[in-house]
Amino acid sequence: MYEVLMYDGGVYRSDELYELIDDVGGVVINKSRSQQMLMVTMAIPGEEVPVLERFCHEIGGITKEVPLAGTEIAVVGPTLGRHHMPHPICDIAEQLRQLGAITVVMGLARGRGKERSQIMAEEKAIINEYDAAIFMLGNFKSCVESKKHLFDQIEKPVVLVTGAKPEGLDQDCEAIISGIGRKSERMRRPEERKKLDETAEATVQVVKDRRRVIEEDPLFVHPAEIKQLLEDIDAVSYNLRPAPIVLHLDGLRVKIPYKEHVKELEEIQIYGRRLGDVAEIKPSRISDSSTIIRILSRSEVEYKDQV
Amino acid sequence: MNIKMEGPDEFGNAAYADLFQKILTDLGKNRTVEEVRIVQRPADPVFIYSIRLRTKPERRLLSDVANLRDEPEGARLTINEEVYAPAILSLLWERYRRERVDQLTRYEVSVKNVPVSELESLEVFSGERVKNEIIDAIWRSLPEGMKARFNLTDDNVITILATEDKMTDDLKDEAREMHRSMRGGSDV
Repeated sequence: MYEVLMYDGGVYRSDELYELIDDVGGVVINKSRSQQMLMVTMAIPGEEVPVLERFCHEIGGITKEVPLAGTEIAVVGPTLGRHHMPHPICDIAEQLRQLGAITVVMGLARGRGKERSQIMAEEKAIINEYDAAIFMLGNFKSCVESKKHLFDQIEKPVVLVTGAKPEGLDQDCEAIISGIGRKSERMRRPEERKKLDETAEATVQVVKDRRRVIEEDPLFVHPAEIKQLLEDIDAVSYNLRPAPIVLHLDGLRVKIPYKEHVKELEEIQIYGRRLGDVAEIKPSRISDSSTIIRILSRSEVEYKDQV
Repeated sequence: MNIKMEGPDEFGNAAYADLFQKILTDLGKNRTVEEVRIVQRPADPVFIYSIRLRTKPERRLLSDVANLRDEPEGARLTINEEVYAPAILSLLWERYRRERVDQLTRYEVSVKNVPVSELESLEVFSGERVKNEIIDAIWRSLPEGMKARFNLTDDNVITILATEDKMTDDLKDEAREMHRSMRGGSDV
């Protein structure tokens, strides 16, 4: 089983680090370099983790646990207007990024107002592509309670972040964090930082629960293994986007156009099977330039074989 | 500045008082405002903001904030109130272009080939701008969906009523009454 770690240190001997990751059968999920500092998120086979930790220490860096690595999370606000953006939505997104998640900030097209707020089917479909969604609503209890329809049909786990504590929404979302609400500046004060930590902890718990559910009927192959194979495709290796492949809990988002590459993706061989037979490959609802790969579970693959 | 909140939602009242104060601070208008009264009924939903400014914002001419004198090469200004210096320079640059405007020292500015008589009546600061900034602060603070709005403005009191539903006469009367009480009892 793969475990996800983050190396935080200098660029010194980083080539050796990449080689070691490759040698032990691991995969680099994400790397970001700022001048002489480097952060590398990697998925490593469980038994090789001590080897990697020792090497990271030897080259002067540290390893951190990143409980949200390998996830893509949407932070959703009612609109993109200055009433809702950028604070505290961006603060929450940044907090989750520090724990290893890839985050996306999203505003609804018609989410404003109390009685007129709406979410479109297209928006729900987009949110359902992510591993979890954080919904950020406002300060008034009655308003928050009346906006249940924004998230009650989202299939992925929802963490609701609000100002006043709402009642009667416990069944409609996985966690509720109250005491944040609208802000006109960054969340810098200690009590605000505490709230951000609370939101991150709730999200980590939600992701853990989802991982546990997936483990009950494990995926046919770990997404990190498919990532390694995808990196050999020309369209991916020449892709200029900062993260051309994003891991999900049950699959991946690969940022190449679906129509042009679906055949190539389906024919990738993994454990003697076509990827098209062990995963569901579909276009992303966000744009034509991304493709979603959802890996089937072992029982789904067995069922498919029988049929 | 005194902020008085009225409404059934305690958390919302405290949060919006804090939010409005921070927005005013952000715009640098904290000291301009004397009293704020906010009525919030999110269940309806209705929001009324009424704000009394410390003084009636006055229009300032260039001759009010600087000494002007004619020199052989043009007009020479000595800025008396430094707070208006950026506005004076922007105004002169816009009107006469940078080639003709020379800032000699922190307070001294010369404008080539322009007589003092032409500069005296230029408006450096419009009183309306302060009111517009306060209205901007209210709009930033009001929940985004409250698009039906009713405004009352006079010398130093600004009242804005906002709702998501129909703008009824009863609501307008409530706003007028609030505006009247902020003016100290006199009618608009």
